[in-house]
Amino acid sequence: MDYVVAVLLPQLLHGLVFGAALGLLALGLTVIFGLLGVMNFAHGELYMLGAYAGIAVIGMTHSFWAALVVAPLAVGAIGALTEVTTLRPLYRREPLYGLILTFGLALVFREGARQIWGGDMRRIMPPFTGSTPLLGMTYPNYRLFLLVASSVLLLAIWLFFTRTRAGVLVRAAVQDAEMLDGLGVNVPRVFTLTFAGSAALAALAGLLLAPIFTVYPQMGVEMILLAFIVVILGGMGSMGGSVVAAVVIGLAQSLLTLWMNPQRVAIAIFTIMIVILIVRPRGFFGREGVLE
Amino acid sequence: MLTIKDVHAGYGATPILFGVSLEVRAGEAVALLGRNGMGKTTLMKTVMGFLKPRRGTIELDGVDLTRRAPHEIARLGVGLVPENRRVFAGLSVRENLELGLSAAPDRSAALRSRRLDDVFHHFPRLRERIEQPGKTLSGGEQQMLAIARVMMAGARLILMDEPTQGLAPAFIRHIRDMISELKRLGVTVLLVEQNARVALAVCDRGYIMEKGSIVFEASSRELRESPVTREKLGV
Ligand SMILES: Nc1ncnc2c1ncn2[C@@H]1O[C@H](COP(=O)(O)OP(=O)(O)OP(=O)(O)O)[C@@H](O)[C@H]1O
Ligand SMILES: [Mg+2]
Repeated sequence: MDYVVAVLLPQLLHGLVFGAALGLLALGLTVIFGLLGVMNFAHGELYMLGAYAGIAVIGMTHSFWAALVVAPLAVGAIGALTEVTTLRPLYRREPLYGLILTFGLALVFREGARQIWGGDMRRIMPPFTGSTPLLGMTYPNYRLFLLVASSVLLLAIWLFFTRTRAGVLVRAAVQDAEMLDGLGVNVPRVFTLTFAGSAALAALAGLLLAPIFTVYPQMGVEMILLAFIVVILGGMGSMGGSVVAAVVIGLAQSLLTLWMNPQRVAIAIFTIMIVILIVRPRGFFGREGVLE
Repeated sequence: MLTIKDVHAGYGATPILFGVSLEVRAGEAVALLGRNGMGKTTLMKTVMGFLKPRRGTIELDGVDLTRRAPHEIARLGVGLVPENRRVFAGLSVRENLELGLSAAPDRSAALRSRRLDDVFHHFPRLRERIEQPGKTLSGGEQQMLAIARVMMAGARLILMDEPTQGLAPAFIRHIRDMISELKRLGVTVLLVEQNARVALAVCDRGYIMEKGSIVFEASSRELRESPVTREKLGV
């Protein structure tokens, strides 16, 4: 019982917190995959830029909350600019071009960050400290905030996609962008705004997680690998699947660290992915034909 | 209303259309006939802006369409009922219809409910299926939805690409009546059909396309009787 309360329960909550934040990252990745037909390799770097932009804003305003608003907006703008200048000319080409491009963009962003901020590890202080008694243990307040914030964001995203016209436009663009344009919708603008939104979400995840992780130029690389696994497991292009898979991976990652070292955790997570894909080749909620 | 002059277009490096010229006058229904693979769909896509012509001009009431994006062409009043319907499978019937409104001059609640009423008047089945995802509709219902979608936009010129393809006779009759009804409402129609009998029953005139060019043009009556039709279409 002591083991459960002292070790298992906090780790379970850690997993949930991490999974929800991972879900924010994976959702953007899934939607962009739906639009472009390729994984956005630069997504992890947008996550990283969110944390650095946060540090910059905190440096100027001394407010984590200001950073939480400004950093995603700034990274969203970078995303929009990137889409217009580099991705847009490639839409009529093979998806492979997009893959190579986003891979290059990732390198540019990562090295750019290293040039501007250096390669040192940095920390962001949580905006509040302290812990709350919960289920017989005490749990850090910031992590609780993280869980609530991520869940609220996921719910908001779900409402956006199901209840708003803009959300319906994005879903329609994922299914048949050309037809949508033929119905009178300015689809290039939908693409730009979707890319901006996904970049802003990645940045938000980066900044929200920064107080419990460390900030460094390669921080996106590790996360993007997990996010890729999440998207594949969720069923490429399925938004609901991404959220479910994110929580599964978050929990798995968190619980496995109790019993193995980080390298083995990575191996175990890939093993989980492979096993699930053998049993369900399309992931949890994969659509027919996405990969065929 | 629609004037196509010497249009050359194709996919990548492959040319498909070789100098197509045709004209659709306001209020007319015009058939575009031709065997499989002759370039009818390619022409429709080019008019809609999905493909850019390499040469030639396409004008709608004197406005050049050739350099415009599909959404601009749609907002000028052109509606496409595409080959294979291309209904948004994951969206509900309501969402599909509301997307149709994107090309309308405004998206006010008043216009939306008026247009929805209109569409349901002609296609009561769509009202019954309003919350169903597009993919759960039968082929005929999807075709109705594709037509209803451009009616929501208030399109003045409707391009229909094989609307009766794969449909049972009752549905074909419904679609045929709907085209006559659209004509009565003042909508101009360019209709691509494999089913020449249906097309010529509702259209005023027709063109026959062969290997990317127009090879014959005549009134529907002439087309019905001419040996050329039989020769070119194999009917
Ligand atoms: N996306 C594409 N890429 C390359 N070639 C294409 C593409 N779509 C069609 N074609 C080719 O263009 C030619 C004309 O095709 P199109 O679809 O315009 O014919 P169609 O007259 O509409 O035929 P059908 O009656 O069978 O629908 C065909 O030879 C076809 O193989
Ligand atoms: Mg065709």
